[in-house]
Amino acid sequence: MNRITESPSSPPIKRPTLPQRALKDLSKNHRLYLLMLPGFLILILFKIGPVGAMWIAFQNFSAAKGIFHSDFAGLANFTRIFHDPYILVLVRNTVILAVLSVVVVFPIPIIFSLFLNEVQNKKVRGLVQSLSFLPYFISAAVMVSILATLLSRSSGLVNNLIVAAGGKAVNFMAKPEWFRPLYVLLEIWQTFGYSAIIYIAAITAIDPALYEAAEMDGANRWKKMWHITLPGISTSIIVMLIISVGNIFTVNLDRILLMYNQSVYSTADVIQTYVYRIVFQSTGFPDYSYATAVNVLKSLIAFVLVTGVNRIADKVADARLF
Amino acid sequence: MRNPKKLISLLLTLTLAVGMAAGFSTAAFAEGENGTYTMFMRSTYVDWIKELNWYDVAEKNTGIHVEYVPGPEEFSDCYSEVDQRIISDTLPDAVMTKLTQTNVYGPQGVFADLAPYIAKYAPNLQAYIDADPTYKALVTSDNGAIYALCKETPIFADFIGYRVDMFQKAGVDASAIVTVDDFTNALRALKAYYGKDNANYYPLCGRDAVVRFAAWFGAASNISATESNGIYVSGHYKDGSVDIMADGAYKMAETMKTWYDEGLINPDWVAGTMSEADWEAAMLNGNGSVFYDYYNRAQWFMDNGGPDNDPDYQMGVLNFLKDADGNPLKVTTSLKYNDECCTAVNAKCSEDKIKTILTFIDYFYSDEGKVLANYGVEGESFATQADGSKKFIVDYSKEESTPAGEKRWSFLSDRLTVCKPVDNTAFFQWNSPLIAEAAGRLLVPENLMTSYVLKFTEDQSKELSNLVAAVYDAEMAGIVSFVTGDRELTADEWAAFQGEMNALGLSRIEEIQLAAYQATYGTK
Repeated sequence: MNRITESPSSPPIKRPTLPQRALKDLSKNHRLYLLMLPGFLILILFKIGPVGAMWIAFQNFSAAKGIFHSDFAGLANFTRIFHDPYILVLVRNTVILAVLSVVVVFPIPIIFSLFLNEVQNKKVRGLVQSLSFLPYFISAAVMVSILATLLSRSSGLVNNLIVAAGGKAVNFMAKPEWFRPLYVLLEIWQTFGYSAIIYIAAITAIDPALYEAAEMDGANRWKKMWHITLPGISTSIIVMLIISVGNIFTVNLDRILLMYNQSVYSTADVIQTYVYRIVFQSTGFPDYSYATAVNVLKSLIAFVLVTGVNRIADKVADARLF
Repeated sequence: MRNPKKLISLLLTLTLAVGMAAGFSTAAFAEGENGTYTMFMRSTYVDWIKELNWYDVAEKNTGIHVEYVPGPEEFSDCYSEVDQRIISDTLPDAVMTKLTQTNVYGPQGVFADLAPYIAKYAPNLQAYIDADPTYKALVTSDNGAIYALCKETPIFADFIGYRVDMFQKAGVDASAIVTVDDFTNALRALKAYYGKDNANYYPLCGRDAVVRFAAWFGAASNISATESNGIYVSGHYKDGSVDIMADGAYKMAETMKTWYDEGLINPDWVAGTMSEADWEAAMLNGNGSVFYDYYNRAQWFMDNGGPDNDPDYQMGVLNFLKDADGNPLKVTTSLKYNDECCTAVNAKCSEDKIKTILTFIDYFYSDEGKVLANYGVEGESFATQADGSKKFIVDYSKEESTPAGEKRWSFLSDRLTVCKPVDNTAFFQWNSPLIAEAAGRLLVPENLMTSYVLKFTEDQSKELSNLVAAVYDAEMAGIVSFVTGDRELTADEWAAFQGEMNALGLSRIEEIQLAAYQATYGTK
């Protein structure tokens, strides 16, 4: 193997400075940067920028005075949260719903992708994957309408079957104990196909030689799935788990508002619906600062949870997101 | 360009950039020429204004044209948009807003103090304000400024609409329904007659919140100089009005539970899963016979498929109920002044612009303007009788069934066009004979509670807003749980429920309301 070495007599190669390298890179890839620019601006303006607006949680915000001139309130809004007699109920409802979403919803796409991977017929596999993916594009309003129609007390398919079997019709959409299962059901229906894509992509990256070796050792399909496929996608699973935990307080507000009625209030009222009422359905003057303080606190707890899960994942499975 | 891929990528980038730029562009509300101004308003109201013949006449008579900026359909979204427009400095010349917003933003310099301009340019409006101390107290801030004008509204209450034909077939005498017990017995008779062949038949049905019968039990929210009972803020004066501490509230829950247990009230309505369309379908196809809803809804069913579904279909309006001693059970009413339909003027407007805006509004407080907005044009929409009274000469049903978007004569003053005085006689005359008769029969002082608009300070308003967000839904859900049997209805459980609501903030809400009442109307 030839090695390129510098002659001791030749002058040292001058390494370009960072600005020079950046300029060269910009000149070389300017079209790519240009393409990236709108997306980058959107990220700055609509994702990163608004984080700064959380400052209003520390203010007595007024739209007229704006973020720079509203009166500073210190931690008063946060103190109020802990004195709000209703906040515990909201936190309980939110956490139960979020934990259910993680515990029940999270494994479904993993199981689905594992089994889909075992389907030998490519056309059938593609068709099943496409069909599972479609609900992701259906709006929450349509999903809830479909569910309400299926579960209608007077004319829904489910109740027709119950009555035909000699039972009594149940207004599922008005039963507090049914709210959470139905919410989770919709979550699974809408997202499992989309989430499965990530696992399916991870499965395709597994070295086929591992399966061939396992086959030669006499492993059946279950053993291959358990000992090769599942460990092969474990990093993806952990990354997705950490992301899910980060979203633990982010329930689907649209869906809840659509499913919300006075009968399911005891289980359906969550932090987001409360904040929504304070700000967007205010009977008086909307308290933007307090609503933001509630959300900031929610984000902080989510951040702590994500960091914790990330550390645990690092220690237990030697995988981490950051 | 040699490489088509490069061309495509360049075009895509340009498209994205232009799209973003379009998103960032701000609506410019230029000063415009004299005789015009821009106004932000709920889109539904804008659509309705564009259909009004008399409104065109008003613009012609004043020489002033209003360029409307349509907002969202939902009221709460409209007020949110006002906030956003304040933040982004895109407030038009005038805006539809609510009093709580102008009370806060006015002193902060967003809205113009109209008081000196009204005195200068709007003599009719000034006379109207001076003649009504209640209105003056409502629109005038502590510093004497007027940041908004409230819309005057006809005084009306919900009516008990019923299917006359179904009552007759079931042998129920509507005129014999006097008390709540009579009403319950009528529901029982209807259920027995129609329910035996139709499992989906529930005589009493409706839309939105089912907790709307409190006044029948003397348990509606109320306020005076000495006490405040129940939630008494915007949106809860009439609908959803209940004082759970009143003895009658327990009786209400008990009666509603009887209706629920015996299948007299639609369980989906009680549960909160009955949409407006479901209710309309039930009333049109015979799955329901009675409702307690907006005053003109009985006519709506006559005009929207009732007789088409059934040739015998006929709606009627029951009398308001009385107590066992024959005393009228006063019902909750709309507010004379609607604090959620106010007009405020951008403080950045020039004096000329403010003059234009006030001149237009002032026209409707003049004698000519009042007649025009309430009756239209003589010879075209009304005629003056020998006794001096005015009578419409255009047909209500024909005009109101004109396809959406087409011009018509219409005098439905319950909606916002401009802030103007309301002629209640004209308002109820401009109705079908069915509703006009019912209004004349029922909307008399002995049947109606008086409603008051309360004016809150910024701190009160914020605290109240947060408390109501927690308490109101809990209160409604709690009552429903008693009705459905999810929570046992006993005196002890009811007392526990009252305690829970007070712990959530109901008693504090009542304190704030009382303070606001006393600040607005005095302590006597």
